[in-house]
Amino acid sequence: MIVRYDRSGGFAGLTITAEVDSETLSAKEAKTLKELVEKAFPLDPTKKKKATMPDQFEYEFTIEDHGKSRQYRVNDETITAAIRALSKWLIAAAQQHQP
Amino acid sequence: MTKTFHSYHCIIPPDILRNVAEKGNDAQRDWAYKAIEQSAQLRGQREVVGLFAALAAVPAGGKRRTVYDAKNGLTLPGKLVRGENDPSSKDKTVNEAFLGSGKTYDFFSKVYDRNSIDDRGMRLDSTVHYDFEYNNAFWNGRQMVYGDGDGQIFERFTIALDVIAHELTHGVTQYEAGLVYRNQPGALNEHFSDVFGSLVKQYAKKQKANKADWLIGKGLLAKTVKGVALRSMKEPGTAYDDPLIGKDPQPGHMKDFVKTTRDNGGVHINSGIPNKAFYEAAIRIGGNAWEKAGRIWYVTLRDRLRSNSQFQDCANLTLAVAGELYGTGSMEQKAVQEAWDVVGIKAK
Repeated sequence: MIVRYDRSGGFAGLTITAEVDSETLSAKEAKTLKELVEKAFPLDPTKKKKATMPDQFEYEFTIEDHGKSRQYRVNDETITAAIRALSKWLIAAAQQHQP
Repeated sequence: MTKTFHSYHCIIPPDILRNVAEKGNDAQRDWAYKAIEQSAQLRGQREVVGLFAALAAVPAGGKRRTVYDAKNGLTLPGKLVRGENDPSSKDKTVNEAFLGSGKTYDFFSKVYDRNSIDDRGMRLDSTVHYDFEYNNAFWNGRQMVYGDGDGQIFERFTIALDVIAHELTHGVTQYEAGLVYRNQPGALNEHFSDVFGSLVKQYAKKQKANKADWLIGKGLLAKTVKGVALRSMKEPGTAYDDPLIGKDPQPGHMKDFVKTTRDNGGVHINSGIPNKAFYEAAIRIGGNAWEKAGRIWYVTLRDRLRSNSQFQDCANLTLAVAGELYGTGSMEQKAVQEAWDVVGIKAK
Protein backbone atom coordinates (compact mmCIF):
# COMPACT_ATOMS: atom_id res chain seq x y z
CA MET A 1 0.00 0.00 0.00
CA ILE A 2 1.22 3.47 -0.91
CA VAL A 3 -0.20 6.48 0.91
CA ARG A 4 0.41 10.01 -0.36
CA TYR A 5 -0.26 13.08 1.75
CA ASP A 6 -0.55 16.58 0.35
CA ARG A 7 -1.33 19.62 2.47
CA SER A 8 -1.73 22.96 0.71
CA GLY A 9 -3.20 26.37 1.42
CA GLY A 10 -3.07 28.05 4.78
CA PHE A 11 -2.15 31.70 5.31
CA ALA A 12 1.35 31.03 3.99
CA GLY A 13 0.27 28.83 1.08
CA LEU A 14 3.09 26.37 1.73
CA THR A 15 2.65 22.83 0.43
CA ILE A 16 3.80 19.83 2.42
CA THR A 17 3.85 16.36 0.89
CA ALA A 18 4.72 12.93 2.19
CA GLU A 19 4.66 9.48 0.64
CA VAL A 20 4.89 6.21 2.48
CA ASP A 21 5.12 2.80 0.83
CA SER A 22 4.32 -0.06 3.19
CA GLU A 23 6.87 -2.24 1.33
CA THR A 24 9.62 -0.10 2.82
CA LEU A 25 8.23 -0.41 6.34
CA SER A 26 8.72 -3.05 9.00
CA ALA A 27 5.83 -5.49 9.43
CA LYS A 28 4.81 -3.70 12.60
CA GLU A 29 4.86 -0.28 10.96
CA ALA A 30 2.95 -1.57 7.93
CA LYS A 31 0.26 -2.95 10.24
CA THR A 32 0.03 0.41 12.04
CA LEU A 33 -0.33 2.23 8.71
CA LYS A 34 -3.09 -0.12 7.56
CA GLU A 35 -4.98 0.41 10.82
CA LEU A 36 -4.58 4.19 10.70
CA VAL A 37 -5.85 4.30 7.12
CA GLU A 38 -8.85 2.09 7.97
CA LYS A 39 -9.74 4.33 10.91
CA ALA A 40 -9.21 7.55 8.98
CA PHE A 41 -11.12 6.50 5.87
CA PRO A 42 -13.60 3.74 6.69
CA LEU A 43 -15.81 4.62 3.71
CA ASP A 44 -15.30 5.14 0.01
CA PRO A 45 -14.58 8.72 -1.06
CA THR A 46 -17.56 10.94 -1.76
CA LYS A 47 -17.74 13.88 -4.11
CA LYS A 48 -19.36 16.06 -1.50
CA LYS A 49 -16.95 18.61 -0.11
CA LYS A 50 -17.50 21.35 2.39
CA ALA A 51 -16.01 24.64 1.24
CA THR A 52 -12.66 25.59 2.69
CA MET A 53 -12.82 28.80 4.69
CA PRO A 54 -10.18 31.45 3.99
CA ASP A 55 -6.64 30.39 4.91
CA GLN A 56 -7.63 26.96 6.14
CA PHE A 57 -5.48 24.01 5.10
CA GLU A 58 -6.56 21.60 2.38
CA TYR A 59 -5.51 17.97 2.70
CA GLU A 60 -5.43 15.37 -0.04
CA PHE A 61 -4.77 11.70 0.59
CA THR A 62 -4.16 9.19 -2.17
CA ILE A 63 -4.21 5.54 -1.20
CA GLU A 64 -3.00 2.93 -3.65
CA ASP A 65 -3.71 -0.62 -2.68
CA HIS A 66 -4.02 -3.82 -4.75
CA GLY A 67 -3.97 -1.86 -7.99
CA LYS A 68 -6.77 0.46 -6.92
CA SER A 69 -6.42 4.13 -6.11
CA ARG A 70 -8.67 6.15 -3.81
CA GLN A 71 -8.46 9.86 -3.15
CA TYR A 72 -9.83 11.77 -0.18
CA ARG A 73 -9.96 15.52 0.28
CA VAL A 74 -10.62 17.22 3.59
CA ASN A 75 -9.97 20.66 5.04
CA ASP A 76 -9.68 22.18 8.50
CA GLU A 77 -13.49 22.17 8.75
CA THR A 78 -13.94 18.51 7.93
CA ILE A 79 -10.78 16.80 9.17
CA THR A 80 -11.37 14.16 11.86
CA ALA A 81 -9.20 13.08 14.77
CA ALA A 82 -8.44 9.81 12.96
CA ILE A 83 -7.32 11.65 9.81
CA ARG A 84 -5.17 13.94 11.93
CA ALA A 85 -3.57 10.90 13.56
CA LEU A 86 -2.82 9.42 10.14
CA SER A 87 -1.34 12.72 8.90
CA LYS A 88 0.96 13.01 11.87
CA TRP A 89 2.14 9.43 11.47
CA LEU A 90 2.73 9.80 7.72
CA ILE A 91 4.85 12.92 8.12
CA ALA A 92 6.94 11.32 10.87
CA ALA A 93 7.33 8.08 8.87
CA ALA A 94 8.24 9.91 5.66
CA GLN A 95 10.89 11.92 7.50
CA GLN A 96 12.28 8.79 9.13
CA HIS A 97 12.45 6.83 5.87
CA GLN A 98 13.91 9.62 3.79
CA PRO A 99 16.61 8.32 1.43
CA MET B 1 -21.64 39.63 37.14
CA THR B 2 -19.14 37.06 36.01
CA LYS B 3 -19.01 35.45 39.40
CA THR B 4 -22.72 34.82 39.56
CA PHE B 5 -23.48 33.91 36.00
CA HIS B 6 -22.61 30.24 36.45
CA SER B 7 -25.56 29.77 38.74
CA TYR B 8 -27.95 31.61 36.42
CA HIS B 9 -26.93 30.80 32.91
CA CYS B 10 -29.12 27.75 32.52
CA ILE B 11 -32.36 29.50 33.33
CA ILE B 12 -32.03 32.78 31.49
CA PRO B 13 -34.36 32.58 28.50
CA PRO B 14 -32.71 33.35 25.17
CA ASP B 15 -35.02 36.29 24.43
CA ILE B 16 -33.87 38.01 27.62
CA LEU B 17 -30.26 37.42 26.67
CA ARG B 18 -30.98 38.83 23.26
CA ASN B 19 -32.61 41.86 24.82
CA VAL B 20 -29.62 42.45 27.06
CA ALA B 21 -27.36 42.01 24.09
CA GLU B 22 -29.26 44.57 22.08
CA LYS B 23 -29.97 47.16 24.72
CA GLY B 24 -27.38 46.63 27.42
CA ASN B 25 -24.16 48.52 27.90
CA ASP B 26 -20.84 46.96 26.90
CA ALA B 27 -20.38 45.08 30.17
CA GLN B 28 -23.93 43.69 29.98
CA ARG B 29 -23.42 42.66 26.39
CA ASP B 30 -20.26 40.81 27.32
CA TRP B 31 -22.12 39.12 30.14
CA ALA B 32 -24.96 38.07 27.85
CA TYR B 33 -22.48 36.70 25.39
CA LYS B 34 -20.71 34.70 28.06
CA ALA B 35 -24.03 33.27 29.23
CA ILE B 36 -25.00 32.24 25.71
CA GLU B 37 -21.61 30.76 25.11
CA GLN B 38 -21.76 28.80 28.34
CA SER B 39 -25.15 27.39 27.53
CA ALA B 40 -23.96 26.63 24.03
CA GLN B 41 -21.26 24.44 25.47
CA LEU B 42 -23.72 22.70 27.75
CA ARG B 43 -26.49 22.09 25.27
CA GLY B 44 -24.47 21.51 22.16
CA GLN B 45 -23.71 24.33 19.80
CA ARG B 46 -26.35 23.83 17.13
CA GLU B 47 -29.33 25.13 19.04
CA VAL B 48 -27.81 28.48 19.80
CA VAL B 49 -25.96 29.27 16.62
CA GLY B 50 -28.76 31.61 15.55
CA LEU B 51 -28.63 33.39 18.84
CA PHE B 52 -24.88 33.77 18.54
CA ALA B 53 -25.27 35.25 15.09
CA ALA B 54 -27.94 37.69 16.25
CA LEU B 55 -25.80 38.75 19.17
CA ALA B 56 -22.61 39.08 17.19
CA ALA B 57 -24.42 41.24 14.65
CA VAL B 58 -25.99 43.63 17.14
CA PRO B 59 -25.19 47.17 16.02
CA ALA B 60 -23.04 48.95 18.56
CA GLY B 61 -21.56 52.37 18.86
CA GLY B 62 -18.00 51.32 19.35
CA LYS B 63 -15.66 48.46 18.80
CA ARG B 64 -16.26 45.27 20.70
CA ARG B 65 -13.58 42.65 20.90
CA THR B 66 -13.31 39.29 22.58
CA VAL B 67 -10.33 36.98 22.73
CA TYR B 68 -10.61 33.28 23.50
CA ASP B 69 -7.97 30.72 24.37
CA ALA B 70 -8.27 27.28 22.72
CA LYS B 71 -5.56 26.05 25.11
CA ASN B 72 -3.90 24.13 22.27
CA GLY B 73 -7.13 22.27 21.54
CA LEU B 74 -9.42 22.34 18.51
CA THR B 75 -12.68 23.51 20.06
CA LEU B 76 -13.81 26.95 18.96
CA PRO B 77 -14.12 29.52 20.24
CA GLY B 78 -12.49 28.21 23.46
CA LYS B 79 -12.35 29.90 26.85
CA LEU B 80 -13.12 33.61 26.98
CA VAL B 81 -10.00 35.36 28.29
CA ARG B 82 -10.44 39.02 27.42
CA GLY B 83 -13.48 41.16 26.66
CA GLU B 84 -13.64 44.77 25.52
CA ASN B 85 -13.51 46.26 28.99
CA ASP B 86 -11.13 43.80 30.60
CA PRO B 87 -7.59 44.71 31.62
CA SER B 88 -4.71 43.41 29.53
CA SER B 89 -3.79 39.78 29.90
CA LYS B 90 -0.51 38.31 31.14
CA ASP B 91 -0.48 36.41 27.87
CA LYS B 92 1.05 38.60 25.14
CA THR B 93 -0.64 36.54 22.43
CA VAL B 94 -4.05 37.44 23.86
CA ASN B 95 -3.09 41.12 23.91
CA GLU B 96 -1.73 41.03 20.38
CA ALA B 97 -4.99 39.58 19.06
CA PHE B 98 -6.97 42.14 21.05
CA LEU B 99 -4.90 45.16 20.03
CA GLY B 100 -4.47 44.02 16.44
CA SER B 101 -8.20 43.59 15.89
CA GLY B 102 -8.70 47.00 17.53
CA LYS B 103 -6.24 48.66 15.17
CA THR B 104 -7.97 47.00 12.24
CA TYR B 105 -11.39 48.15 13.48
CA ASP B 106 -10.06 51.70 13.90
CA PHE B 107 -8.59 51.69 10.43
CA PHE B 108 -11.83 50.68 8.71
CA SER B 109 -13.85 53.01 10.91
CA LYS B 110 -11.73 56.15 10.56
CA VAL B 111 -10.58 55.73 6.98
CA TYR B 112 -13.66 54.24 5.29
CA ASP B 113 -16.37 54.90 7.89
CA ARG B 114 -17.00 51.17 8.18
CA ASN B 115 -18.44 49.81 11.41
CA SER B 116 -16.63 46.49 11.80
CA ILE B 117 -16.61 43.38 9.61
CA ASP B 118 -20.26 43.55 8.60
CA ASP B 119 -20.58 47.36 8.84
CA ARG B 120 -23.18 46.75 11.54
CA GLY B 121 -20.88 46.61 14.53
CA MET B 122 -20.24 42.87 14.57
CA ARG B 123 -18.09 41.89 17.51
CA LEU B 124 -14.54 40.89 16.62
CA ASP B 125 -13.84 37.44 17.99
CA SER B 126 -10.38 35.91 18.02
CA THR B 127 -9.15 32.57 19.30
CA VAL B 128 -5.47 32.17 20.14
CA HIS B 129 -3.41 29.05 20.94
CA TYR B 130 -5.44 26.97 18.49
CA ASP B 131 -4.12 23.40 18.17
CA PHE B 132 -0.54 22.49 19.06
CA GLU B 133 2.30 24.24 17.22
CA TYR B 134 -0.26 25.05 14.53
CA ASN B 135 1.46 26.79 11.63
CA ASN B 136 -1.48 28.83 10.48
CA ALA B 137 -4.16 31.44 11.04
CA PHE B 138 -7.58 31.48 9.39
CA TRP B 139 -11.03 33.04 9.24
CA ASN B 140 -13.71 30.38 9.79
CA GLY B 141 -16.67 32.45 8.64
CA ARG B 142 -17.39 33.81 12.12
CA GLN B 143 -14.09 34.55 13.81
CA MET B 144 -10.32 34.76 13.54
CA VAL B 145 -8.22 31.78 14.64
CA TYR B 146 -4.48 31.88 15.39
CA GLY B 147 -1.93 29.12 15.88
CA ASP B 148 1.24 29.41 17.95
CA GLY B 149 3.55 28.32 15.13
CA ASP B 150 6.10 25.56 15.66
CA GLY B 151 9.05 27.88 16.33
CA GLN B 152 10.93 26.08 13.52
CA ILE B 153 9.24 27.69 10.53
CA PHE B 154 6.77 30.09 12.08
CA GLU B 155 6.48 32.28 15.11
CA ARG B 156 3.04 32.86 16.63
CA PHE B 157 0.60 34.25 14.07
CA THR B 158 -0.50 37.23 16.17
CA ILE B 159 3.04 38.62 15.96
CA ALA B 160 2.30 40.61 12.79
CA LEU B 161 -0.45 43.22 12.60
CA ASP B 162 -0.90 42.64 8.87
CA VAL B 163 -1.73 38.97 9.51
CA ILE B 164 -4.48 40.00 11.92
CA ALA B 165 -5.84 42.61 9.50
CA HIS B 166 -5.59 40.05 6.67
CA GLU B 167 -7.80 37.59 8.56
CA LEU B 168 -10.30 40.24 9.56
CA THR B 169 -10.55 41.46 5.98
CA HIS B 170 -11.63 37.95 4.95
CA GLY B 171 -14.66 38.71 7.10
CA VAL B 172 -15.25 42.01 5.32
CA THR B 173 -15.02 40.26 1.95
CA GLN B 174 -17.47 37.60 3.12
CA TYR B 175 -20.03 40.29 3.96
CA GLU B 176 -19.42 42.36 0.81
CA ALA B 177 -18.27 40.86 -2.51
CA GLY B 178 -18.53 37.31 -1.12
CA LEU B 179 -15.72 36.21 -3.43
CA VAL B 180 -15.75 32.44 -3.86
CA TYR B 181 -12.63 30.93 -2.31
CA ARG B 182 -11.36 29.19 -5.43
CA ASN B 183 -9.37 30.04 -8.57
CA GLN B 184 -9.37 33.74 -9.60
CA PRO B 185 -12.19 34.89 -7.28
CA GLY B 186 -10.33 33.11 -4.46
CA ALA B 187 -7.06 34.79 -5.41
CA LEU B 188 -8.90 38.14 -5.36
CA ASN B 189 -10.24 37.24 -1.92
CA GLU B 190 -6.65 36.69 -0.80
CA HIS B 191 -5.55 39.84 -2.60
CA PHE B 192 -7.99 42.11 -0.76
CA SER B 193 -6.89 40.60 2.55
CA ASP B 194 -3.27 41.37 1.69
CA VAL B 195 -4.15 44.90 0.50
CA PHE B 196 -5.92 45.89 3.70
CA GLY B 197 -3.49 43.83 5.81
CA SER B 198 -0.69 45.98 4.45
CA LEU B 199 -2.71 49.21 4.64
CA VAL B 200 -3.61 48.67 8.30
CA LYS B 201 0.10 48.27 9.01
CA GLN B 202 1.01 51.36 6.97
CA TYR B 203 -1.74 53.37 8.67
CA ALA B 204 -0.53 52.30 12.12
CA LYS B 205 3.03 53.28 11.18
CA LYS B 206 1.91 56.45 9.39
CA GLN B 207 3.93 55.39 6.35
CA LYS B 208 3.56 56.83 2.89
CA ALA B 209 3.37 54.37 -0.02
CA ASN B 210 7.00 54.86 -1.01
CA LYS B 211 8.22 54.28 2.55
CA ALA B 212 6.26 51.09 3.25
CA ASP B 213 7.85 47.64 2.92
CA TRP B 214 4.77 46.12 1.19
CA LEU B 215 5.55 42.81 2.87
CA ILE B 216 2.95 40.44 4.27
CA GLY B 217 3.85 38.53 7.42
CA LYS B 218 7.13 40.21 8.27
CA GLY B 219 8.36 38.81 11.57
CA LEU B 220 6.31 35.65 11.18
CA LEU B 221 9.07 33.45 9.78
CA ALA B 222 11.36 31.91 12.39
CA LYS B 223 14.85 33.37 12.48
CA THR B 224 16.44 30.29 10.91
CA VAL B 225 14.30 30.58 7.76
CA LYS B 226 15.85 32.49 4.86
CA GLY B 227 13.24 35.06 4.04
CA VAL B 228 11.88 38.46 5.00
CA ALA B 229 8.16 37.63 5.01
CA LEU B 230 5.51 35.39 3.41
CA ARG B 231 4.66 37.59 0.46
CA SER B 232 5.86 40.78 -1.18
CA MET B 233 3.30 42.98 -2.90
CA LYS B 234 6.08 45.05 -4.39
CA GLU B 235 8.06 42.13 -5.80
CA PRO B 236 5.94 38.96 -5.73
CA GLY B 237 8.10 35.84 -5.64
CA THR B 238 10.94 37.36 -3.61
CA ALA B 239 9.73 37.07 -0.01
CA TYR B 240 11.64 33.90 0.87
CA ASP B 241 14.00 31.32 -0.60
CA ASP B 242 14.84 28.63 1.88
CA PRO B 243 16.03 25.00 1.74
CA LEU B 244 13.26 23.87 4.08
CA ILE B 245 10.20 25.73 2.81
CA GLY B 246 11.29 26.40 -0.77
CA LYS B 247 10.97 29.59 -2.75
CA ASP B 248 8.14 32.13 -2.76
CA PRO B 249 6.00 30.93 -5.70
CA GLN B 250 4.04 34.13 -6.35
CA PRO B 251 3.86 35.51 -9.89
CA GLY B 252 3.70 39.25 -10.53
CA HIS B 253 2.43 39.04 -14.12
CA MET B 254 -0.38 37.24 -15.95
CA LYS B 255 2.12 35.44 -18.18
CA ASP B 256 3.27 33.56 -15.07
CA PHE B 257 -0.23 32.71 -13.78
CA VAL B 258 -0.02 29.35 -12.01
CA LYS B 259 -2.57 26.65 -12.83
CA THR B 260 -2.87 24.18 -9.96
CA THR B 261 -5.50 22.20 -8.10
CA ARG B 262 -3.69 22.73 -4.81
CA ASP B 263 -4.52 25.61 -2.49
CA ASN B 264 -8.04 25.94 -3.95
CA GLY B 265 -6.53 26.65 -7.34
CA GLY B 266 -3.55 28.63 -6.11
CA VAL B 267 -5.39 31.37 -4.24
CA HIS B 268 -2.26 32.23 -2.21
CA ILE B 269 -0.10 32.08 -5.33
CA ASN B 270 -1.88 34.04 -8.02
CA SER B 271 -2.88 36.78 -5.59
CA GLY B 272 0.62 38.08 -6.35
CA ILE B 273 -0.67 39.47 -9.65
CA PRO B 274 -3.37 41.83 -8.31
CA ASN B 275 -1.13 42.52 -5.28
CA LYS B 276 1.54 43.88 -7.60
CA ALA B 277 -1.11 45.93 -9.46
CA PHE B 278 -2.27 47.52 -6.21
CA TYR B 279 1.30 48.37 -5.23
CA GLU B 280 1.91 49.97 -8.65
CA ALA B 281 -1.28 52.03 -8.36
CA ALA B 282 -0.43 53.20 -4.84
CA ILE B 283 3.11 54.20 -5.83
CA ARG B 284 1.90 56.11 -8.89
CA ILE B 285 -0.77 57.96 -6.92
CA GLY B 286 1.66 58.66 -4.08
CA GLY B 287 1.06 59.84 -0.53
CA ASN B 288 -0.74 57.59 1.95
CA ALA B 289 -1.80 54.45 0.12
CA TRP B 290 -4.98 54.05 2.19
CA GLU B 291 -6.35 57.43 1.13
CA LYS B 292 -6.83 57.05 -2.62
CA ALA B 293 -5.61 53.67 -3.89
CA GLY B 294 -7.07 52.04 -0.78
CA ARG B 295 -10.38 53.85 -1.22
CA ILE B 296 -10.66 52.77 -4.86
CA TRP B 297 -10.07 49.16 -3.86
CA TYR B 298 -12.39 49.40 -0.86
CA VAL B 299 -15.31 50.79 -2.86
CA THR B 300 -14.69 48.14 -5.52
CA LEU B 301 -14.83 45.39 -2.90
CA ARG B 302 -17.86 46.86 -1.15
CA ASP B 303 -20.03 47.84 -4.10
CA ARG B 304 -18.85 46.35 -7.36
CA LEU B 305 -17.25 42.93 -7.23
CA ARG B 306 -19.43 39.82 -7.34
CA SER B 307 -18.79 36.37 -5.94
CA ASN B 308 -17.36 35.04 -9.21
CA SER B 309 -15.42 38.11 -10.33
CA GLN B 310 -12.18 37.46 -12.20
CA PHE B 311 -8.94 39.48 -12.32
CA GLN B 312 -10.15 41.23 -15.48
CA ASP B 313 -13.37 42.29 -13.69
CA CYS B 314 -11.34 43.64 -10.78
CA ALA B 315 -9.16 45.64 -13.18
CA ASN B 316 -12.19 47.04 -15.03
CA LEU B 317 -14.05 47.89 -11.84
CA THR B 318 -11.14 49.58 -10.07
CA LEU B 319 -10.62 51.65 -13.22
CA ALA B 320 -14.30 52.65 -13.24
CA VAL B 321 -14.34 53.44 -9.52
CA ALA B 322 -11.17 55.53 -9.86
CA GLY B 323 -12.94 57.53 -12.56
CA GLU B 324 -16.04 58.00 -10.42
CA LEU B 325 -14.13 59.02 -7.30
CA TYR B 326 -11.41 61.18 -8.84
CA GLY B 327 -12.61 62.01 -12.35
CA THR B 328 -12.40 60.42 -15.77
CA GLY B 329 -8.89 60.83 -17.12
CA SER B 330 -7.64 61.92 -13.69
CA MET B 331 -4.14 61.16 -12.49
CA GLU B 332 -5.62 58.53 -10.16
CA GLN B 333 -7.49 56.75 -12.94
CA LYS B 334 -4.43 56.77 -15.18
CA ALA B 335 -2.40 55.31 -12.31
CA VAL B 336 -4.88 52.43 -12.00
CA GLN B 337 -4.78 51.79 -15.74
CA GLU B 338 -0.99 51.74 -15.78
CA ALA B 339 -0.83 49.58 -12.68
CA TRP B 340 -2.87 46.81 -14.32
CA ASP B 341 -0.79 47.22 -17.51
CA VAL B 342 2.31 46.35 -15.47
CA VAL B 343 0.85 42.94 -14.57
CA GLY B 344 -0.41 42.24 -18.08
CA ILE B 345 -4.10 43.11 -17.67
CA LYS B 346 -5.69 45.73 -19.90
CA ALA B 347 -8.29 47.45 -17.73
CA LYS B 348 -11.26 48.75 -19.73
